[in-house]
Amino acid sequence: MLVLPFFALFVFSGCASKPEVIKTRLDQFFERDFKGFEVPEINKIKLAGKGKSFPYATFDEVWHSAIIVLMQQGIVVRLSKESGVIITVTTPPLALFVERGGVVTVYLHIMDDLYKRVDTPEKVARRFPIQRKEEILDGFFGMLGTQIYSGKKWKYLYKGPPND
Amino acid sequence: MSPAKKISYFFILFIFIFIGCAHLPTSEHPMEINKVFHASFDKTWDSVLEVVKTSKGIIITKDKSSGLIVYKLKSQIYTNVYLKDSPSTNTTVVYVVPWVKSGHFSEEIEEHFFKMLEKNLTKK
Repeated sequence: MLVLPFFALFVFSGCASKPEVIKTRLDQFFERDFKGFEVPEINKIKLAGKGKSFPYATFDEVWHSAIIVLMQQGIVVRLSKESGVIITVTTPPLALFVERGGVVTVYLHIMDDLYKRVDTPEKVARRFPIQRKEEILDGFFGMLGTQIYSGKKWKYLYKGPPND
Repeated sequence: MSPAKKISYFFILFIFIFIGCAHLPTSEHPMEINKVFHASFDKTWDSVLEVVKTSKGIIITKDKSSGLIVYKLKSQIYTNVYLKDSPSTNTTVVYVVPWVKSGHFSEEIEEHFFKMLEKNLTKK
């Protein structure tokens, strides 16, 4: 009689449902080697993302520093120096835009829409609360600033007033 | 001061001294993600593309003006390769950072890549 509970356990464990495999839009792009991956519009990156200006640095300095930081964060899947956009797949995926100008400004947008489920696009497989997003953005800008200004002279110090 | 207090102060002092003596652990095999090649940027760029072709890699993205090539190997390893030229010394610094979907991959990919690149550059 003692065998009966074990027998029941074996039978029921066999009937257990398989864990649900959730596929996201990001998984789909991995399967396709990122073919057909569309870079978000610059306006979207600027509006939905966070911006930070980097004075005393040229576009090239900021651009190359951004590459060095991002390639340590994840897989760079799209980049164009002409448009100034870099897309990096990390957790979460990041879209970066370097804006040319008198002072170079960098915009960073978290592409959490790539975590939308393929079967039910209204649902997302992974959420990032606003506070966490802020931490990620601030952390990135900290690293980028260090990379840009490392090895540079102390340009914030003047012998006299700056307008002399 | 009671003996118990003296002992506790001694222990606190002891802990402080030993914390001060502690040092950050360093690896005996630090990651070597960059290497200087005595070749022009153009020559190194072409050689990197040759290495990708020989390894049957799939190019995910590349931009020569930025000096970046990202490719995927059959083993699902994605490699970011960044080239930085130094025209005054006719050298090119090559940075290699490999990834898998779940995170950083650090199993001698860089070493193998650099060996192949060196072989390719000397062949030319």
